[in-house]
Amino acid sequence: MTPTREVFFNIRHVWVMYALFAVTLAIFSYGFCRHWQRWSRGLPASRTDRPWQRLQGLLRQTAAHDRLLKRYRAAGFFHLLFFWGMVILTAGTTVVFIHNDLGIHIMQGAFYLYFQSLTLNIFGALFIVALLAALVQRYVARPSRLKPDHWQDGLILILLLTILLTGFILQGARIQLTRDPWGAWSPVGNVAGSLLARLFGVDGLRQLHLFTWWFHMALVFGFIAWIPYSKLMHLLTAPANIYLRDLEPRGALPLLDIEKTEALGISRLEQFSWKDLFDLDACTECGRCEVNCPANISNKPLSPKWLILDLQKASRAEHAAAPTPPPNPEEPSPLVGPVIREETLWSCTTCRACMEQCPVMIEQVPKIVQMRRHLVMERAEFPDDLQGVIRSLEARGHPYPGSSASRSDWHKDLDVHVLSDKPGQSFDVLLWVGCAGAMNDRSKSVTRAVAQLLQAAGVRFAILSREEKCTGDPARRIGHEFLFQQLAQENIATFDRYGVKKILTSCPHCFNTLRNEYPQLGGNYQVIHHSEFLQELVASGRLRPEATALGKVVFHDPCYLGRYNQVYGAPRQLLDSVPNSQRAEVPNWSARNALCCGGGGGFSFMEEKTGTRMSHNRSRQLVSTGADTVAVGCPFCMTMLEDGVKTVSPEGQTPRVLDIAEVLAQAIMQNPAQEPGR
Amino acid sequence: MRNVLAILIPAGAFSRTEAETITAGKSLAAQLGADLSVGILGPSDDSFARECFAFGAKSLTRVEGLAAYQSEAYSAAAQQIAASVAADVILFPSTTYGLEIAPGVGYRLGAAVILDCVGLIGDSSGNLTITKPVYGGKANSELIARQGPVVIAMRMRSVAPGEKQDGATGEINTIPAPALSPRTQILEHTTEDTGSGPKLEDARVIISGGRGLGNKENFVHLEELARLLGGSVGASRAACDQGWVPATLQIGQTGKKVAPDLYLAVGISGASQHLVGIAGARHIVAINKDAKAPIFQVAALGVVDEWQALLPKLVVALTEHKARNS
Amino acid sequence: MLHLVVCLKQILDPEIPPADFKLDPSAQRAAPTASLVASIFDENALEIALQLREKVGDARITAISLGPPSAVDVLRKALSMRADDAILIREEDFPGIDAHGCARVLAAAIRKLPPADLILCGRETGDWHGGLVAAFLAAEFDRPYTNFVAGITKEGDHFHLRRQTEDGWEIVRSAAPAVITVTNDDHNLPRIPKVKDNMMAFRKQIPAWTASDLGLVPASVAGPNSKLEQSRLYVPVVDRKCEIITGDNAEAKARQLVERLAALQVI
Repeated sequence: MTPTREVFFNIRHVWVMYALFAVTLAIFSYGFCRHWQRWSRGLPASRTDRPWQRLQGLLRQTAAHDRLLKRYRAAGFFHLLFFWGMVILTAGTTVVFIHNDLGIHIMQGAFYLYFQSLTLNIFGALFIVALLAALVQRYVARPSRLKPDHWQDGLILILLLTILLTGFILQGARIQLTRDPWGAWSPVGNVAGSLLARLFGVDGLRQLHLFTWWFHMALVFGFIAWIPYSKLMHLLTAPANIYLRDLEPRGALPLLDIEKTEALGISRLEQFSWKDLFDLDACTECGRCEVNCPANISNKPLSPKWLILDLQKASRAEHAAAPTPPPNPEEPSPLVGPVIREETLWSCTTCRACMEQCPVMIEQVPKIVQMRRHLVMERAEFPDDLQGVIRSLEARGHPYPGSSASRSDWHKDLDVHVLSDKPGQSFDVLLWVGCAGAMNDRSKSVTRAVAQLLQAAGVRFAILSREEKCTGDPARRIGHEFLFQQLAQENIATFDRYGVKKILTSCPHCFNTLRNEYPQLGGNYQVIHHSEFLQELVASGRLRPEATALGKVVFHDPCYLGRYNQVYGAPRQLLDSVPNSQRAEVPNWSARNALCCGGGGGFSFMEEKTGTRMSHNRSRQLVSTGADTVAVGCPFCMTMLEDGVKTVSPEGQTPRVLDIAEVLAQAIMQNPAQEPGR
Repeated sequence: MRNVLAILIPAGAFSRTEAETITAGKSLAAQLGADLSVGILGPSDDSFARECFAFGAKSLTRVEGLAAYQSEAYSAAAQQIAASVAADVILFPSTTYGLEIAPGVGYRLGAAVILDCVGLIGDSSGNLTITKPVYGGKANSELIARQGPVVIAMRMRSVAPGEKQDGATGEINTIPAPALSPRTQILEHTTEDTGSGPKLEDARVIISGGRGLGNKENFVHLEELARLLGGSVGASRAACDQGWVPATLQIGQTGKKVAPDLYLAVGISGASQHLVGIAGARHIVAINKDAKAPIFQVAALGVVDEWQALLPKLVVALTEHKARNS
Repeated sequence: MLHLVVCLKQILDPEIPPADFKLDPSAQRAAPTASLVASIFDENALEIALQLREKVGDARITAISLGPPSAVDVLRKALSMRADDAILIREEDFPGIDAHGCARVLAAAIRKLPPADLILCGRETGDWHGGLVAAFLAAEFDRPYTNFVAGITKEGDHFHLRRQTEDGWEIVRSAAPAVITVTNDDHNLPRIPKVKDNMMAFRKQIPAWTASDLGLVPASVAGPNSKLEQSRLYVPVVDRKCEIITGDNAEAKARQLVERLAALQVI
């Protein structure tokens, strides 16, 4: 006899089920279409190219829960059970559908025994374990990221639990009543059945089965119908959102055609792209974005989660209140201010921690910057501190209002190739110094260290000196796209005039903008951060560091080097190349999980007016490693952390803050054959 | 032959401003081989006149019935004094009022006008060499005025008051106030709370404290110094972060940018973001126990010592200095 | 309707780093080693005018610059901040012009406009720091003149001017029409234009008036300041090296420090 089972055992009037299913589908479809209509109101975005790449990423994040497991081992593991339980059980139901309704008899034989019985049983049981773990997490452990509780959250868990338990009751009852010879292949159902048989007897069991069957069916249909109307929507939108993720370089903000765009920046929901609107419905409210958010941690009025949920609420409410009047650009924004407060937008350092943590790849930072664009370019409203920065960038091409430093100060006594002095002389790489590197006293010594290392290694490099202008990164991050494009175009013209092909820089913000954003404006160069460049020089033996009094060193990952450009290894290898160095990491808060120093997104030029200081929070983490040296790779991090470690360290135990280039320069000095300047 | 006239606009008793203006006029008159007349706009008493003579005025003109400052009345009076002494070199103080009326007086007298000068030398043939800082103090311009009337306002504190000849006297003339119906009127004059000193951005002297001060209470030492020097108290970000002083006093990249003549940094190491805020300071003086502190790289004068030891002595030395010079 | 005229000058960026500052010996002025910007107090003057227009509602602002062709950038900036009109006066037509000449040329241009109720200038330019032109303009027009104004209100047919003094501030009631100079304070920080206004300003035509448009003979505008001869223009030498005050004890150091401060004329 071929192993299988009867599908509608003990059930009459099966048509009722089909009728109810039709109703379920109708309710589901209505809800889904409402969402679809809402998404379609967004502007076009191209997110369906490169399907293989998209599919691969989708599988990595769903089948393997790659991101989630990287930081949240326990929660990630349980959600993985959750996910696979849902997938396998849905697959099981689909098998029944194919077998019974399509008449393709696959639910039999070994497949029936191994998959439909054993596998489903195991995953069903694991699903129950995961659900119990979720209930414990939400109502016993209560991490703040899950706050505040919503009645839906508990109901969903209870609903799923009930569906699973009733499923096992049904299975057990059927095994008992039909004396199923393959009952042992469904171990959980089998045990449940024998227990129930003892409790209810045969007739009782038959009644129980009948009642439970309809109850179970009602719950499942209710669950399906509820999906579009609850946060269960993420069952569909989360994987879709991962598939539709941004495949462009992470560090590139969307380019704005200023000449052709009527309203600059985003002040109304329909100015978002459809993908931005889709994002809002992918949120599972897990709150992981909050955990690594430097603004949230320092009690600023920004939670990436609530940013998305507030937008979601507004999007759904606005759609419900149809029809909307045609937008009038002079009208005050119904979004920026009423829904998302200005202080919220001005709390973001654009560090990308939220986007890196979000398991479903929601894109928070571009939304924030695009709303800032509205504030800055349409309303000319921004924090007072930025007024001087913008004026200085406009008039002088650097963000340091009132500075009397010259870009030529740092190299006055060094023999370096300034392009305007010797335009004909050839060079291999342009050293892009950056505003901080040229004008900030502390960063100047970093620049000098880089230049001296390059000289020691015999690299033919050149600089622009006074012809450099800000890359435009701060302008773009604060939302002044117009100013960014002006600055970028001037720099691109300068690069083209000197035939620049390869650019080396010690500022990750410059690095990111030159590498990922200049191509948007036609500037294509090979751009390298000094950590990678110097690491190569060490690896190839052109720089030979000797032991130096470095002590224990901890590297602080700059957001725009790490999260935005995935350079995590080079700076660490560089530090490890110093013979007697001993390297520490901040547990759980390192590399992609590193906490922002608080200097990005314009914050290097703004005072933190609310909450605690972001730089102190990060400094506390770094100091707690007991490191003697905090190594950085970014001028903004340098300023922030130098200040921060001084404040949070116990008296007399303040670690030094050094750039990786300074560390290496010290180590090279120990090698008489390579003393810089020789 | 030049006739030199120094116009004074007293704001009460004879002050250093008047002493500076007379001193500048006296030495110029001596170089030109002329005598110095002084014109006083506004009410003044006999002791004021005695001070004028003591500092070198040879004659003095007062205006009868000229009340509190009003630009048109004062301008007209200045013109009448100039005419009465046939002055062709007229000095004004670079105060708000002086700078307000000097150009118009010069215009009506057909004079060349140069304001905010730091150097003034005459020669026996009547030529004047005038030095004036230009380009935000990055350069000095030296101008020669050969003939014709000249109106000059000297920058405050650019002239050290000369020796006093107590008991010196001279001729005192009085002219009536010109009759006119003024078109402007000062409705109210408010003196800003001197306890907190001038606004940091405007302050000529700033005493600034940092992390090295250790606590909130220690800022009273800076306030004492600030009162003594007529300056204001500022702070580094570290000090503001600790809540020792309000954030409005913060000087630095994200705080106030200041351009005082004297910036006295006490217990400030000179974090880069702080240095950005004081880039405009003319003279930076640092007091810090750490000789390697970056603040010494931008300071003109430095004292390597504990501030606790130094500040009380500094207060004493300054008080003595003030007593000597007032 | 109020008519407000703001005079703006284009100058070499006063924030040029000292290290980059060079003199052009042949031209007796600074070498063009930095960008050209609107003189800082002039933008404060425009800002005050904009604020006054916002308060009274019915006002028109004309921005005028006497300068080289590049000075249109300053006027465009003024337009982007939302001045209503902008006029360039060709400086090339008046070689070697002095402060008196500037005042006469600006006065001739202002006379061609609808009658001005208020003429605003910066307290001094950021290059030569003359501080004269506004007062000369007041004399040209025989109008009341008030300096160092940081804020204005219109009270009846008078202006109430908040003026900075050494020790505080005062309210000066001035008859209209009037001429003022403007100094900076925290209430008149020049606004950052909206990007849309920026682009509008770039498209606008700015008339350039010549000497003959103004009916002036260039040689006739010069005044007494043109007779001054600049014999020397030089960069004063500053010793940037930090002098460490030494002494046996704190008292000796303190006395030494006071002496040095007195020599620097800062106390």
